Formats: sequence, structure tokens, C-alpha cells
Amino acid sequence: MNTEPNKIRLEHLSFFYKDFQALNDINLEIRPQEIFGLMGPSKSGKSTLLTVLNRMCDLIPRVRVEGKVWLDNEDILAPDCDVVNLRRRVGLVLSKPMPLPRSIRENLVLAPRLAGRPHQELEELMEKSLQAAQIWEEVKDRLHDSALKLSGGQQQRLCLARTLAMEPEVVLLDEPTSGLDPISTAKIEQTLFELKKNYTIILVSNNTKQIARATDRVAFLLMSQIVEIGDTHRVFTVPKDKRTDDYISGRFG
Amino acid sequence: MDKGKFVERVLFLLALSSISSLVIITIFIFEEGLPLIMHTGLKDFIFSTHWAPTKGFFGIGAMIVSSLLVTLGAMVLGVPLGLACAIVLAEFCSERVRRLLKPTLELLAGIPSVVYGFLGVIWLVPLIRDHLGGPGLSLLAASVILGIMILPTVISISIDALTAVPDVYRDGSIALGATEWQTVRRVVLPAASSGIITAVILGMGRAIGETMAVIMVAGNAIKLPSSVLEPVRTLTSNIALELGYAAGRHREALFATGIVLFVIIMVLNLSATLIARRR
Repeated sequence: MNTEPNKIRLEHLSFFYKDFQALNDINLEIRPQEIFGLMGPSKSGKSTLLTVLNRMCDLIPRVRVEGKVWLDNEDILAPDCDVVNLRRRVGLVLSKPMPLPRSIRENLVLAPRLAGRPHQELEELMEKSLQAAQIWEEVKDRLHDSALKLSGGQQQRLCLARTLAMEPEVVLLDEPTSGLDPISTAKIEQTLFELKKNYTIILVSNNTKQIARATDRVAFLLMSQIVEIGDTHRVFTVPKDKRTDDYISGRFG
Repeated sequence: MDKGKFVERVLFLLALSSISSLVIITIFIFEEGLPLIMHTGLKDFIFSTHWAPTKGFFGIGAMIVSSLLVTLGAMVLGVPLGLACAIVLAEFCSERVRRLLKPTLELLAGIPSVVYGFLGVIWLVPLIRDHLGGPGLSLLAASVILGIMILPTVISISIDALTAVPDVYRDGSIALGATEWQTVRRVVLPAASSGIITAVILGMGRAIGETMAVIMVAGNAIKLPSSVLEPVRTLTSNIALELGYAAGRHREALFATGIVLFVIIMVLNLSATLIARRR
């Protein structure tokens, strides 16, 4: 029985890199099947927050986490949490699209293969993921070409597709359109909109226009703290906090 | 002429002289050795196993086979050990431990080969003689010693190859639900493969060219070995052992042996360079 209405809930989450506090007492709820936006100037803690959600932060030496993060009803910061399984449920698309230097196909089947999916499911899973990431039509005739031959926007969508091939429940995206042209950006935003039906999506961006266009709810982070949380439309039309107003109207950030 | 130009010229001449020494060495061994190969015939020289230089038989087949077997043995022992060591140091150790251990391992390369040979004679040879049989001085002893001697080469170059793999590949793989070991095996090792192959080939070059340590532990009998416990003589050992008293045709034959070695090592180094460049 699942009484938890939220997909992810953060309670008093704080995060330290050595003596630098990157997150300060974050409380946040993320609902299933929404696109949740995290915006804020660089170094405000957005990316750090993502790395906590699938425990990629474990890879960084000398960090400390306090507080609780619940995924459904499971405490993912608990020492007995199965981290590998968590990362399969909460897929992270890194900010720099970096496919492995192999064929498009191999990039896609890597994750399901690691998860031990049977051989005959791989092809179908690959096609489904590439279609969901809106890149199937562009690559279907050259699946055996190197993934590095793709353009930046295509590589970004390929990385999204290979995350989707894990069939995660939550997809974390860290600046998925930084460095992309408007057409590729529009394609990715369109993709996210389609994906919302099946996944919970957290989108980190310091492009406020994108947050306004693409997300349902948004949190504004500043100096490791949450300044404001709310429906995107409301936050962008009547911000409660002066600092949010300043940020979205471009007075700093 | 101003000072800068002058220094430039001098440096150019010095650089040229080091390259010309390579050219001179090449010309010299070919000039000294080729007449004998012409005389005996390349086929007989390389494939015959009858080496009796005082009676006019110059076949280095047994020594070529021995050299290759000793090298193969060294690779079988040294490559897995070195690669495992490199993986641990590059992927699983903290930066601090790596910074301490890598130079320490590279010190292994600074130990003179005669010391390796000495340790082999004192410890390894009796060990083999007492527990496995045979004279102790053997193909196996030489392989073990060489296996250890190539470690610094294999480890050091492999670590460089592994650390050159961009971290985004690792992060990407971990984010896709790979364990650390899966990441190493499926992502990092394939990405570093050309560097690792280079490491192996350079280790091979070192093993095949090593002389002193091998002379001391290999037993130096000129015949095709029928087991790893039998003594063998490698190409390098042969040159070092006989050059002191060789004259005439015999001396030429040793230079011709040098040509064979030269060609083998050139091929190895060249392929290492080509593979490293293929990236």
C-alpha cells in the first residue's frame, strides 16, 4: 500500500563538500508524472541536488549528506539502500552529452544489458527508447555508426534515450539544452512533454524561459537554499519573494 | 650571427647526432651481420637449430624459439599481474595512495637487471629445483624474473591509459546503473584498450631484449626446450656469452643474431606506436 502521494520527498536535506555547504535544509516534494523545474544561478546547488537523488554524489570524495530523501516509501540515503538499483530507477542525464565512443546501438543496449535484460528484448527496448527521445527517425538507418558522429543535439537526445532504455521511474536532466540551438532545444522540450505521461521528470536549467515553458512546478534555489516553490505559472506571474522576481526578470543570475 | 640562432644550431646538431647514432648502429650491425646471413642463407640461419660456430654451423632457430618462449612466459605472468595492479591503482585507489604507489612501482624499473638475476639465482632457482625438479636454471625461472621486470612498464603505461579515459564515460556508465566493476570492464577498459596494448607490446620489447638477468637464471643450453623446467639460451644471452671470444664467421653470426633481434624489437615498437596513434 502506497499512501505517499509524492514520488520524491526531501526532508531537511543538507549537503557539504568538505567545508562548503552546497545545500542547506532543503524541503521539497515532487509529484508523480510532473515536470519539476529547478532554477537558480550557477553554484546555487541545483546540480548537487540531482546528484543526491540518484546517489551519484557517492563518487565524490569527502562529501557529507544530512537529512532524508524518500523515493516512494524508501529512504534512499539509508546505508542499506541498493544504490545500483536506485540508479536504474532514477536515471540521470548528465549536463554534458557524452555518448560512449561506440555505435549508437551499443550505447543504447548497454544499460539494459547491465541490468540483465534478456537478449531478445534489447532491440525492442532500443527502438522504443529512441522513439521516446524523438531521435529514432534520424538514426534508424545508421544504428551501427559511431555515436560520436551525431550532432550535439542528437547526442543529447541519444543520452536521454539511453537513460530511458533503463526504464526508470524518474528522469533527472541537468541542463539538457545548454549549448544547443533553438531547434534542438524545442525538440528536447517536446520530448519531455511526451515523456511526462510515463515518467516523473526533474529538469535543472538556468534558462528561466525554458523553465517557464517546460515545467509544471518550479523551485528557485539561491545560495544553497530554496527561496520559493510553486506552480510555474504562479511563480512566473506573481512571485512571492523579491529575489525570485529579480531572478526571473533577469536582474541577476 | 645572433646568440639565439647560434644556440638553435647547436641544439639542432646535438639532436641530429643522437638520431645519427641510431642510423650508425643500424648500418653497423647490418654490415657486420649480413655477409654471414648471405653465406648461410636466411632460411638455414633462422630455422636451423644447429649452432656450432667453431665447426661452421650457424643456426639460431633454437634461440629464437627460446627467446619467444621466455617472452611469452613473461607476458603470461606479467601482463595479468600488471594490468590488475594498474586497474586497482587507477580506478579503485584514492588519489593519495596512487600518488604514493605509482612512483614506488616505477622504482622497480630502476633496479639493475643484474640484481634481478642475482635474486633469481639465490631464491627462485633453488625453489624451482627443489619443488618442481630439473636443474632450476630454466625457461620458467627466466620467465618469472622477466615477468617481474616488465611490471613497471606495463603498470605505468596502463595507468596512464586508464586515467586518460574521460570521467564523463565513467559517470555516464554509473548513471546507467552499472556497478563500479561493470564500468571498468565494459566502459573504461575498452576505451583504454589501445594504450593497454601499447603497454603490453613495450613490455614485450623489454622482455625480449633483456640480457643479464636471463643469462643468470636461464641455464643457457642451446637446444629446443621440451618443458618449462629445461634450460634455454635466448638470442641476447647468446650474443653476450660468446662475443668475448668470437672471431671471423662466428663474430659475424653474432651480429646477424643482433639483426634478428633488431628486427623483432623494431616491429614491436613500430606496432606499439601505430596502435597508440590509432585512437
